[in-house]
Amino acid sequence: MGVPTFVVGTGRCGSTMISNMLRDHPDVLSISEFFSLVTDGSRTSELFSRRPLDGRQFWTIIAAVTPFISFQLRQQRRRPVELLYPYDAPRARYSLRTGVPALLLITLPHLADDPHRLFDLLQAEVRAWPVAPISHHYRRLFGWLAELFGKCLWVERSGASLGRIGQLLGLFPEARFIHIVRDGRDVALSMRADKGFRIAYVTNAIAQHLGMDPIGSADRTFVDRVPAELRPFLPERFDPDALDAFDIPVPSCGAS
Amino acid sequence: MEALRALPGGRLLTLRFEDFFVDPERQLGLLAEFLGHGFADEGWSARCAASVVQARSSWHTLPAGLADALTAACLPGFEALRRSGVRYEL
Repeated sequence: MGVPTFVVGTGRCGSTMISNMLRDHPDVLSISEFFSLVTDGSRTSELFSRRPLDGRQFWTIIAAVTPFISFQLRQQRRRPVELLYPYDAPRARYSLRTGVPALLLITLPHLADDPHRLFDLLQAEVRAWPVAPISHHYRRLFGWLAELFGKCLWVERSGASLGRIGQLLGLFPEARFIHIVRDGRDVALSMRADKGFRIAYVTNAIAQHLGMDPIGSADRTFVDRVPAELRPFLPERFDPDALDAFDIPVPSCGAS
Repeated sequence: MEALRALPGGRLLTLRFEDFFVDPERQLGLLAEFLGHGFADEGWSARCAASVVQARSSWHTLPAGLADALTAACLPGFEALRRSGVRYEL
C-alpha cells in the first residue's frame, strides 16, 4: 500500500487545500483529520499506545465521541464549514445532543457521500480484527479504505500536526512527510479569528490556572485562581458572546 | 520541526502555501513527484490548478506597530523555517 505519507503543518496553514487536491487524485486515498480528531488533543496515550488490542477495542478508540471537540462544537452557533458531517440537519443520525463519533466529523464524509454507510461497513470490518499492535490496526484501516476506493496509496493530513511527528514515526518508522508552511503572521491572524482556536485558547488558559483540564474534570478547587476575564469560559457557564468580545493579543497568536 | 529536519533524504517535501497561488502547476508537480513514480497526472494537475483560490494575506493590513510586534513574535518560527531552507520576507 505504498509508503505511509503524512501532510503536516501548524494549523490554519492551508493543508486542507492539499487534502482536497489529493482526494481528487485517481490513485491517492486522502485521509483528512483522522489523527487530530480521534486524539482530541489529549488522548494520545490510547492512540499511540504499544499495548496490543483487538478489533473491538480499536474500534472503541477510533469511533469514540471525544470530549473536547464535542464541547467546542456545542459552543459555536453555526457548524464550522470544515466540519463536514451535517450534525445540525433535521433527522441526522448523530447530533450534538447524541454526540458525533470523531471519525464521522470530517474523515469519512471527506471520502464518501454516504458517511453512515461507510461508518457501518468499517465497524463490521474492524470489529472482527484479531489482537495486534495498534500500528498494525492503523495500517490495516487505511489500507482497507484505500482498497475500497480503488487507490494504491494513502496520505493522512491533520491540522496542527507538527507536534505529533515523533508519535507518527513511532507508529510508522518509514513514514515520509509533506510539510505545508505559510507565513506565520497570516497563520496567527487566521487562528485568532477562528472560533475553535479561540475556544482552545481560553480553555488552555483556564487549565493553567486550575492545574487540570476543565472539560475532563469537574474539580474546581482552584477556581478562585482563574482571572475574572476567563471565568465566563468555564465549561459549566461558557458564554459565546463573551468569547466574541474577548481580545486575544495579536502577538500572542504569533508566538503560539 | 526538528523531527522533520532529522529525517533521511527523500522523506520530506516542504511546500509553501503561498507558492500554490503563484505557480500551482509547479507545486502540484513537486507533490506528484514526491508521491512516487506514476503519480504525475496532467488531468489531475489541471483540475487542481484551476481550483486554487487566492488566500488573503491579512497581516499587511495591520497598523505598523502591531505588524512589527507580530513579526517579532513570529521570529523563532521564521528562524526555524530558515534553517529548513524556507524563507519569508520580514
